[in-house]
Amino acid sequence: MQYIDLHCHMSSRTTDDYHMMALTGCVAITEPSFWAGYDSCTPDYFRDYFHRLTDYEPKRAAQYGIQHYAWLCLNPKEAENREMAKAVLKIIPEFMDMPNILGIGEIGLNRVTRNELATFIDHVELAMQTNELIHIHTPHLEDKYKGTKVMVDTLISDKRLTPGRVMLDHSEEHTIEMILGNGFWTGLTLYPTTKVTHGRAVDMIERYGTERICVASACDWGPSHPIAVPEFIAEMRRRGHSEETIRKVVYENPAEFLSQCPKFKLKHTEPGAVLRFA
Amino acid sequence: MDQYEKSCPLTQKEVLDADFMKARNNLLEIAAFLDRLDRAKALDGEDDFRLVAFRRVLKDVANHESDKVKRMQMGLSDLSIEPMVERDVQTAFGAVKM
Repeated sequence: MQYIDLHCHMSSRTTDDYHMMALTGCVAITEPSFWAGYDSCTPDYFRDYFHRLTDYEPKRAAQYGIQHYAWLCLNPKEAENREMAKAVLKIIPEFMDMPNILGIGEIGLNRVTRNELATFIDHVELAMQTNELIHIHTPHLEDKYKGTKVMVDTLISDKRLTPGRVMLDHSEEHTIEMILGNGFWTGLTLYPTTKVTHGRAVDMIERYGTERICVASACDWGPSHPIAVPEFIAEMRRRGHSEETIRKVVYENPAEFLSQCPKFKLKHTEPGAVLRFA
Repeated sequence: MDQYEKSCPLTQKEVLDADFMKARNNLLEIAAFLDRLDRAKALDGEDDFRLVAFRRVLKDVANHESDKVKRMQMGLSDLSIEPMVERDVQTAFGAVKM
């Protein structure tokens, strides 16, 4: 089955991973701006990084027939540094018109601090200026509930914003209802220990349905699995879910969300897929 | 009645046939983790916020109420709503540091 992996940090992965993803049906990926594992020393790093996301990675993915799209921001892990954030916010517009850039992301909160929240709001402001799609990282572990609530409250108080154009990613059992209930899209990220296993992701699909939910590998430089989406597909089949239901989650839903940006155009169409945005 | 009753398309027998061995193994891993803590050469973590939280939410596994995962998640979460004045550490701990 063809699938779209809406969240993978391919800059941290090898070419072998693109190969495996292509062999298992991946036709398109989106790569949110990420944290290198250490805080950057200079804003110039981000100019190089954004160049990689808009030039080198799309070419590398294309070798395997995978369409590569990306999101730009200063990742929440570095959002505490307000000076750096302000400098990076000035660089981002230089790249927004690149053909593979779909919007602003993954912005969000990490430890849920005042500075992180200020940087989050600055990014939302930037997105609103040109009506960009927004991709949001919700914090991990003990910070997830608090960070998700703070961001949901902030976003719904901004009447300019359309929740259907915002993805709050990394939801789990205690945050998914708050995200979907307020009209946002959400993602279940299939990560071995700190996020959601494919078994728990299927449990959440069974409980909350398939509307406005996507799944992704969120693969990066940490312990993660670039073909986590096919593992999810296998678990859905094992539990007896229909091919139509599975296709909706792994292909139609991400296509529907991403197609709100006119730059997102799939070259491949999954046989039997119902593309409501077409 | 639980609003999610019968949302899993498998029968209980089918779930047991498919997942019991894996769940049994996970349970033994937790027991072994707790035994290892008991056997540690220094009992210097008894008041550690992670262990305190772990023991507290473990009780939720054994009860018969629904929404066990959600209740465990909430039991391990920071339920305050005020942002921190300044970042303390880069990476979360998995339980709330008191």
